[in-house]
Order: sequence, then C-alpha cells, then structure tokens
Amino acid sequence: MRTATEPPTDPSKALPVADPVEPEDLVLVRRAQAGDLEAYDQLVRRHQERVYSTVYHMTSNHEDAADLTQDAFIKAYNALRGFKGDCAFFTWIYRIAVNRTLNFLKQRRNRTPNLSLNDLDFNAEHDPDVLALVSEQTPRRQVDLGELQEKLNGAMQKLSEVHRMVVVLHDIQGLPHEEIAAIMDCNPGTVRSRLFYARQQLQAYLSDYLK
Amino acid sequence: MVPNPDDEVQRLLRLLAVKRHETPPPGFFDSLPNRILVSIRAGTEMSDRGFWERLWIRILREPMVAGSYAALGLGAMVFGVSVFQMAIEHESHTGIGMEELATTTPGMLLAPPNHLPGGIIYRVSPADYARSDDSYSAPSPSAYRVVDPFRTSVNGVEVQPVSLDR
Repeated sequence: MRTATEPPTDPSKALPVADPVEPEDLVLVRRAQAGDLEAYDQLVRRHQERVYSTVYHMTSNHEDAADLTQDAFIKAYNALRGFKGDCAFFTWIYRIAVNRTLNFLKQRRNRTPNLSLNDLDFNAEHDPDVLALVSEQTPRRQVDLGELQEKLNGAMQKLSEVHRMVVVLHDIQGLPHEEIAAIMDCNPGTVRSRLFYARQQLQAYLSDYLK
Repeated sequence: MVPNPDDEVQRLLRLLAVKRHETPPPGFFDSLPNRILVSIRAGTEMSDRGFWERLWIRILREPMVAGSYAALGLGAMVFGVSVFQMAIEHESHTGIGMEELATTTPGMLLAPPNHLPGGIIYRVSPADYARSDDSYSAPSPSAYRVVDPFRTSVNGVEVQPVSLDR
C-alpha cells in the first residue's frame, strides 16, 4: 500500500528504476572494461537521461547539467576497471554523478545560481496532476505553467544540496529510499528524515501554490 | 479547518511533477553520447603518448596554456638577465664579486645616526638591531657591511657609498 509520503505511482510519470540484477548492463560493463567503446556507448545511451535529469534538477541549469553529465560518464569510463559489479552499474554511475554535482554546487555556493531552465514538454499541459494545480490557480495555463516552473526551481535552489538531492531522487526520479541511501552513502533513515525536512521547507516556500 | 498534512504532501508531489516535464533541447540525447566518446577517445590517445608529446599537443590545442608557458619563460629570462647585469655592475663598482653577492642575505637598511662615522649605509644583523631598542646603539663593527653603494641618501640623511666590508 502506498503511503501519503510516496511519490505518485503512475509508472509513466516516474523515471524507470533500474532492475538491480541488470544482466545486460553487466555484460556491457565487462565488454567496456575490455576496451569495447561501443559497449560503453550503449551504457551511456541507456542511462544518460536519468543521470542528466538528476543533475539538471539539482542545478536548474541545462549547460551545467550537460557538462556535469559528460564529466561523470568520462570519469566513470576511466574508473571502470575498478567496478567490481557489487552494485548495479546504474547505482555506480549515479553515485559518480551525484558526487560531482555536489562538489560543483559547493563551489557555486557563494554565487547566485544562474537558472537556465529547459522547456516543458507538450505533455505537461495534459498531465492531470499539473492541470489540476494550474486550473485551480488560473485559467491562463500556458503562462502560469512557466511561472510555476520558475517558482518551483527557485524553491528547489533554496534547499541545501543534500535535501535537494533526496527530493530529486525520490519525489522526481521515483527512486526508493534504499537506493538513494546507496547512492548517497548514508542509511535509509537519514534519507527519510532529509526528505521529511525538505518537503516541509518546500511547502513553506511554495505555500501560494499549495492552498 | 486544519489542513491535512498528507493532502499538502500530495499537492506538493503534484507540483513537483511539473519538473518531470522539463526536457533538454531536441537532439541533446543524440549528441551527448558522441561527445562523451570523442572525449574518451581523445583522452585514451593522449595517455598513450609521452610527456613532451602530450605537453606539445596541449599547447597547440589550448592557446591560454601556450601563452602561460611563454610568459613564464620570458619572465624567467628577463629576471636572469637583470640579475646577471646587476651582479656585473656591482662587481665593477665595489669589487664584491658575483659569488659574494649571491651569498649576501637580505637585511635591514639603516640610515646611520650622527654618531656613526661617515654617513655610510650599513647593514646590521637583525640581532644587533633588536638590541638597540629605542635609542640606536652602534652594533659591533663586525656586523657592518655595505649594502647599497649607489645610494646617496636614506630617509633624507646623506650617505656616502663605500666599497669595503667593515
């Protein structure tokens, strides 16, 4: 049974969570470890969207997200010989991307974040969850979707990096607490408490949209 | 009526659903793997080369690096020439050779008070200077050494250049 603290369960909305066994990933990893760049290309294509999305939602900047995603995959390739397969490749590449992003955000901390937001896709206007929110606020949907997007990203940027990360991984990406704990190298209890606090913060920042 | 916290969380989650619809520019995910592979191939090629070859390639590819190395080299050359020239001039005026100049350590410049003879610029060892407190007491002659034979005044006090150690 889904609790109120879990993200919406429509599987088409949340990004797919990798199968922990991932036999195909492992085969590709072994080939890439032997120097097969085509195999690594397939791994990149398989995971790039989720990695990019995570980094993008953390930075709210497309250019930074593109650079960090590229760096993460290059670093992962260079460290691929050290990958023993004791966790899913997906978890491993996520961990690299998350650490690089957190380091980048620490360096950026003293600067005002420069938002460079991606456009909303066509489906946003037809998402019942989104429609319900916007139609309650105003009938001018398109205009206010953009405004809502900016407010949302602004509120996300006010959270600390680790709190933002759990919101991104759980509430946006749909990863379970245990997977997030493995990625962030902490225990699931810490993930839950961070998520609870982060949601409270977001509720305060976005109170106008939650009435 | 008190709002139900669970309802508020649900509304927040619906709000966050907007972010799932943010998508990068069209074609981004087609080009990203190629960019990654090109970088990996370039890095692999570079690691197979020797140090000097890698340095040369880097200089050719990155004008800023080339400029930095050029500025560094030029600066080192100018510094070397100026030190050499100063040493030669110093030797011709004072008889103190280059080797001796090289062993001369930086010290304190003092415009000597009236009771020191000749108004000469002396260098006094820091220990001697420390002992002098507020009123200057002449350090032992063995601590005297000519510092700058070309200066004619220090702090408005006229001095005479000498070429001898004291």
